[in-house]
Amino acid sequence: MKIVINDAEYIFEDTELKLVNILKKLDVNQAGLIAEVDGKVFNNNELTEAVVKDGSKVELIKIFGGG
Amino acid sequence: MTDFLKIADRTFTNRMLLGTGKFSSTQSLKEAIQLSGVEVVTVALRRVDITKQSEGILTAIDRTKQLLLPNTSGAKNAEEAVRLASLARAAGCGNWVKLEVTPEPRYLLPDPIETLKAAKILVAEGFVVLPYMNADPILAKHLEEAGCAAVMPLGSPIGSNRGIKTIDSIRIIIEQSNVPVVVDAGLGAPSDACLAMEIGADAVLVNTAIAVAGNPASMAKAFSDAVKAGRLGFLSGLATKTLQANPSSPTEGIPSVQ
Amino acid sequence: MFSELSKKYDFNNVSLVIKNASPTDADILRIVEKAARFEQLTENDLIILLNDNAKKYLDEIKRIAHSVTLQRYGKVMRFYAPLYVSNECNNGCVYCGFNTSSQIKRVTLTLDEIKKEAEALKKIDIQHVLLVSGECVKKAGIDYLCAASKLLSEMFATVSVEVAPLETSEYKALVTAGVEGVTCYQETYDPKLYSEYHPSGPKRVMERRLDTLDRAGAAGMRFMGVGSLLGLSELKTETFFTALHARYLEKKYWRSAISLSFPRIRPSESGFKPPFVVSDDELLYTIAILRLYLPDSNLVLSTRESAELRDKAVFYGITQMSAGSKTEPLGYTADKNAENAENAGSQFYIADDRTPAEIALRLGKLGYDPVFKDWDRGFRHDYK
Repeated sequence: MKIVINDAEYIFEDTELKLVNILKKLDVNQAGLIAEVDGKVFNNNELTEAVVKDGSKVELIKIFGGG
Repeated sequence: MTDFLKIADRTFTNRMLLGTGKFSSTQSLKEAIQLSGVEVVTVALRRVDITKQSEGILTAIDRTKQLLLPNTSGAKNAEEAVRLASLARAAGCGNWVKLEVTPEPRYLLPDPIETLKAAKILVAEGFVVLPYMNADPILAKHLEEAGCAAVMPLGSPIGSNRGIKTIDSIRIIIEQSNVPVVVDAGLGAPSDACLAMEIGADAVLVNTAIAVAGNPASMAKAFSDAVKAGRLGFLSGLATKTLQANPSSPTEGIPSVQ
Repeated sequence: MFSELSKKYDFNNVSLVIKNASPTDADILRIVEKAARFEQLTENDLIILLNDNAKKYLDEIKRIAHSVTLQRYGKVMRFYAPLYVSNECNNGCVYCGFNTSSQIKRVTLTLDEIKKEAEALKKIDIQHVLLVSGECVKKAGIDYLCAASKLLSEMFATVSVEVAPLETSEYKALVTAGVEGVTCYQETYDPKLYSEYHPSGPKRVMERRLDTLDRAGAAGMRFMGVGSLLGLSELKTETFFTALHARYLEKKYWRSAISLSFPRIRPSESGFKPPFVVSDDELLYTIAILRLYLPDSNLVLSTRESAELRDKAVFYGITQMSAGSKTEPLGYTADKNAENAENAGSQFYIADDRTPAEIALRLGKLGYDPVFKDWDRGFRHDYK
């Protein structure tokens, strides 16, 4: 499947994957992370519930310094 | 002396709010927070850079001591601001939000129309809204009427360190506001923060001047001390300025020259 | 609502705070200088100005009050006249000529009679009319008041009302009918004395009256007027609460302009003698310090006061006066000289009976421009 994460394309062999597996594959630190998958927001506690499939659009967001 | 800062249903003893952008490291930020004793810190939401992941700044913040105030920086219109606020809430940041709608990137001045629009939506959705605004007294009343918990008029553009260029308008806002007034943006030196408090502001928000100082931690303390001094000065009844001199030593009984 | 704010201030405690303030001369002068710079005075500043020690600075206070008024309003005096449409009243206010137990002739004007009264007022140059009535829903309820207001709004540049406390929806109806302003005197902010003075009728509920102007402001009234009936209770404390009320309304209903009036109890049919008599000097001093505390408010002095005092008050901060007033229904058209004429009962006896033209002439001599028309309903968004 082909998915978009933060505007970048990624290809995986599976037809469906749990987001947390993708995060592990990409070596993304999950601390403080929230994800939006196809318009649905998953807070840090809910990440394990997120599932992506072909064509999914994913936003990975974190808290950064700001004024 | 019970001089607390009250915003919405929270009470604070420190009247300085700290922005967390532009610090060289999380450690630097942590020291600044600790030495200044701030109780409210702003943060932003951004996309994770998968290729280059940095240490989260949340390690610098003790959420039992500091209230997290996520901002909607990056938003160019009300819709984007509302989305960012919702994401922040979903990220576990609580329901306080610093509403920031800055469509023009050179001066980063807040859009009054989109800000008011977003404020109404966010208040209806249960957020505690602190809107960043230009020092417009009428807009301040509109935002107050819309249910904002405070108003945050700018002193001068973000990061410009030019001090309180909008002082006359801020005085009017302070006079007319029924909600706390937090002077935000452009405070370049502790004396600027002190002045804001002397004219009656309820609090200030400082970021750049602390983050890029030679020693951010001690600069944070300097600002915090200046805020305390300014507040005490305000509460103590400032002397009037006069054109003519008013001798402070007695005018009688001056010994003559032999 | 204002009642929530005023609950936080105990009337007797405020009296004590004012009495025990002991400000130094420097304290007082600092406050006067603050006012001269248009820097907003705080409640503590007002308390100091109310303290007896401040009185010796009357000249300085008067000078700054006048200067602030000039800067804000110019050399201008606005005029209005009351039009009493009904003296029916269900309230038993002990000090008032319309008291429900008063044996006066009770009259409620027909729309035709109101029209004739209005024409008489227009003949003497009046363009701002204050529609006044007692509190009697049966004889002069909201429908009647709306009909009267609509009629008057077609004849005058500005119509305000001084009637019983109404609901927001009723004030909205009045706004639609053309009313721009509401005046409602609290009479006294002292809860204990308030209940003694208002033993019966709807007015006996103090909280409802305290929140009246909130309801008017919520309805979108452009002008709102406060005031205490001077003489009912201790002047200084009453002044503090009146000022508190005015400033609260200024900040909350920021699109509205606030007026303060200084009605000093006058002899009336009720025969009531005020227990806290306010002297001329005290009245003028009160006007001046309220000007300092509320530099933007409209300060109003009616024909309760003599010509001589009103001419003086111009220099203490007054910006609006009633002129040519009659405080009984049909007062402008009734023929007092007709045989067997029994006139409707008046609310109080007038002291300044000069015509508007006479007052305007006098003000001209004092260097003031008399303004009869300060608005036009043509500016309203719903003007057709």
